[in-house]
Amino acid sequence: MYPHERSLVKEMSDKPFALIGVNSDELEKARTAVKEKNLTWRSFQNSVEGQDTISETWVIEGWPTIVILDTDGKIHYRGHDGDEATKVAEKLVEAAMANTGR
Amino acid sequence: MIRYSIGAAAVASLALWMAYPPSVYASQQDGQGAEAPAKPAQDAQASFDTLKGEAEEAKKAWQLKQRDLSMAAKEAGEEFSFQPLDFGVFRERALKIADGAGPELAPEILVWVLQSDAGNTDGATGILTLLADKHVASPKLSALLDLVPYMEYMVPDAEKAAAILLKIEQGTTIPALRGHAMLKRVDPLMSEADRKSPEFAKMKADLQAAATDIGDPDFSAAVDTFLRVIESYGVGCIAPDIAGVDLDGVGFKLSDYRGKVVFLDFWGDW
Repeated sequence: MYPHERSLVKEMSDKPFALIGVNSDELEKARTAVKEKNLTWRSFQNSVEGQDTISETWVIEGWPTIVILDTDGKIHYRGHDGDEATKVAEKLVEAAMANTGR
Repeated sequence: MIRYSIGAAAVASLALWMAYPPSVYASQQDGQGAEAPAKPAQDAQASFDTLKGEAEEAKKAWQLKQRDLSMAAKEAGEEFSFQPLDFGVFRERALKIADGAGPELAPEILVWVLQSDAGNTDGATGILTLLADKHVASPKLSALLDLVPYMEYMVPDAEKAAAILLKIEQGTTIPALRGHAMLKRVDPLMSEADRKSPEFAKMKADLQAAATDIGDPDFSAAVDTFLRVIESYGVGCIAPDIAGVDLDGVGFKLSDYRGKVVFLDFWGDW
């Protein structure tokens, strides 16, 4: 999964697009992964003491799960298929760029 | 893969079973009772009791053998993997007895096979299909309350699973089972159009009514979660904000990225 995400982030770097993670590992493990695997995107910590985990709130039942939001925060895709998610995201980015006339 | 939990659902199913004793269904016997009085049914019960006893013995012997084999392997420094108990013979015999048993005993036997031979997915599909086709109104199906949540492990074929669940939903006399079947049958990742359809509105009302009727907190929580996914976190919803901290402990929000298309990735490093 990482190579796909890395190339997606690179390809979209000058476009209205952001890849945001929600990481469910122990913090140290997540930090090591980011460092060793050169992960360039920002991630939420899934569990913070005293709060419901983000994955529980969102009722995430399998990992990885990908959710695609448009520029207004509306959900267009939710599922486990990275290729399908990428297609949905690319279409939305195109639409967003057409709208702003870029 | 399949876990059996003795939780609130089991207690609820027991309570339901007691509320709908088998005698209520005695009048539903389809003439067999009149033609062939007590004796064959007693025979079937006796055969089933014998079979259960033998299966229990076989299971104990199997456990001891696995223990001995694992200890021997450990001593020899070899890898050991458990061999599953071959339930096939018991299964065949049980199905034969069920074939000749009345409408009260037959589903009990089928449920017993299902519970005893849970890892056998081909077998489970067959048994559940039989139960759904021929015994769907039996109170013995309360045993399925704990199993329905694991439907995809018992019946990996999604179409067959959906067909079984629909029959249970439409035919069962046990409200909680009807609710669980409904919950399991519907994919919460439905499209925006489906979410806005009258069918969904009706299903939502049905589920909430079922939750009220059943009064089981586990089931009510399952319904709430199910509806929350569809109505707040499903396709077509405006995503509720996330306010959290990044891996360096710096706070940020999902809504910081409004104006951009967001690829939100629930990930872990495995």
